[in-house]
Amino acid sequence: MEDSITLSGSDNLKTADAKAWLRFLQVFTLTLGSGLMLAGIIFFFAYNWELMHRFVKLGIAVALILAVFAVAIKVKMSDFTHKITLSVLCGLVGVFWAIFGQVYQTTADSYVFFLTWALCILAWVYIADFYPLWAIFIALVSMGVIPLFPDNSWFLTLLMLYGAVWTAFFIFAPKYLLNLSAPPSWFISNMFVIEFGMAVFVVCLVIFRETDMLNGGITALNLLMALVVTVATIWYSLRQKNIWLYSMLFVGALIVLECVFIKCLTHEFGGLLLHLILSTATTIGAAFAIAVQYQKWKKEKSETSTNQSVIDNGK
Amino acid sequence: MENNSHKSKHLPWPLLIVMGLGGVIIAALLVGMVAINVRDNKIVYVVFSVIAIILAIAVSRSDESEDKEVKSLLASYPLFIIGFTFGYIAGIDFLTQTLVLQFVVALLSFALSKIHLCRQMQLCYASVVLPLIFFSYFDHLFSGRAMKDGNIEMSCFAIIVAYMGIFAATIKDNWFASTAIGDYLKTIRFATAAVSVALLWFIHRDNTAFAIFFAIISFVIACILLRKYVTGKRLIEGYVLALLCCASTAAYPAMALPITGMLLSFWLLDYVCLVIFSAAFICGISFFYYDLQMLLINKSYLLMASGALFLLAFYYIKRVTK
Repeated sequence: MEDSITLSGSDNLKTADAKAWLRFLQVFTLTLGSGLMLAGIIFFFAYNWELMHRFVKLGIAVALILAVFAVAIKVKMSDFTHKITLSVLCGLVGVFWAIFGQVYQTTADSYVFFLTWALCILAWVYIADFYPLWAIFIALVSMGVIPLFPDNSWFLTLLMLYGAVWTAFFIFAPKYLLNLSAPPSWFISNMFVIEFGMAVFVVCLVIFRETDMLNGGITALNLLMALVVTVATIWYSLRQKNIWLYSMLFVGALIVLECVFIKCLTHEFGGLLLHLILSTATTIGAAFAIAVQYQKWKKEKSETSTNQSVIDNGK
Repeated sequence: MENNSHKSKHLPWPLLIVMGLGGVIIAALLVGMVAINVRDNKIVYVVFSVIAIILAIAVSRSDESEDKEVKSLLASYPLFIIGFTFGYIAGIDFLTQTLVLQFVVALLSFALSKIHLCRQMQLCYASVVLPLIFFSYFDHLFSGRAMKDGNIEMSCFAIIVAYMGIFAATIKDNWFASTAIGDYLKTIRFATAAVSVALLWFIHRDNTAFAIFFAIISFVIACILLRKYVTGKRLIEGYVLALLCCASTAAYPAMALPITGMLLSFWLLDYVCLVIFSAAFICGISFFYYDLQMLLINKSYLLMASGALFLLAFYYIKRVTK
């Protein structure tokens, strides 16, 4: 009998065929093999860590950085793989600083570690122009910068301002910085959602802790900042026709209204009944507003794509 | 495969989030209102539960047109939540019977309702309630001693086997084509996979019978696939390789089940379930190495050796299929 592996499987389209199984087996064995091997190597160094000289410890981290850097420079690879390699490189810089801190017992605060790490990888993050890496960079900078904010009533305003600076940077900077591409929709949407989430949190806090926060202009400033963020989110969601962001506005509104209802209405039958009527009306209103807008934007998008295909066919 | 063309497929996720949040608020307020007035009168809860579920089914049956789906969902979804919550409050003293009743009601609601999303929720709820019935029966629903009870372990074993059987049966989608669940095979797979993986927590790590059972199932699946695609000498080599792989999972229950699940999920190209079983497999293999009673250095050698074996398998597969 002839030895063979049939690659043109007779499966119907709904199940995996021979080619798919082959790919699955290759990915499975490669991932599992390299994962177990890597874990084994890490455990090996972990076991012998105390016995190693500090130069060896730092040397391992530096050697890894140099090796990955050499791969990123010398080896031909796809754009995506190149970006992933640069991301690994950025991660290894953090490993290096962690070992440095452990070896020399620098007793530095954690935010110094994150800030140093972020500053060291800034150039690579900019060169990679890879938005998942930008997201990690923002997280690192935030872990370094936010602890420096003064812990008083201005904190939330500063936090919203800080988020707004990042969001504005990614909206406007791609026009002026040559290497920076326009951010993908998921990235900017999430930036806005986080920023808007902070604004909603601030408003809810003002509703529930009015006695603490009604001192002078701080509450007004917090609310003003929340209002600016909300207006910016509305502007962006309408401009980009982003249904996700548009819906998040209603989720935020629903949460704020619930806080108002809980605060203002009594917890007896009459209060609960009124609460129920108002909540039902709000939910129905929000759901219909989203459904209508969704249908409208969907229609506009399909019309635009039809017009585009007509123009393309004309060419 | 799932054909949900007639209903909620057209509703965007953000809308479902808003409706989900609003529905929970409405349901909570209604429950609160009744609780304030009724207090401990269980009969009233029963009556409200029955009314809410009947209303929910009626609402979910009345509007079949797509444009009215939002309206129907907004009414039926909170009503279902209210119905089941009141039912639960009413029967808290007879928990096992209440859960059995809830399971039956969930299946009935699935059969009678016409809104796709509601039916998906009923199926998921029924698949979660079934193991809870056993937990309640052996008096461990709130006790936290379930991990040590052999009866719970046996029940979980039986439920996992049954659920994986249902999961595997969905390969033959033509069996279900003319039935009500024909459009919900993907939901059934998701629910059975998620619940089976969750129940794995109650299977003891030294339960060899469980591990061997699923290792054999994995081997049978591998043999079926090998016989389908491979012939001659390579078939024997394939059998040996499959036997080695499946035998290695027979040492640990938390590895054996996920491997079977991964094979079945990939067979059906169900990537959601593949992710669930893959995550369970990663947890299982991590626990396996963590539980090994040996020095860290020996663990590292073992890890490197097993890694090398899988890399060898990778190169072997690549070479023979070139």
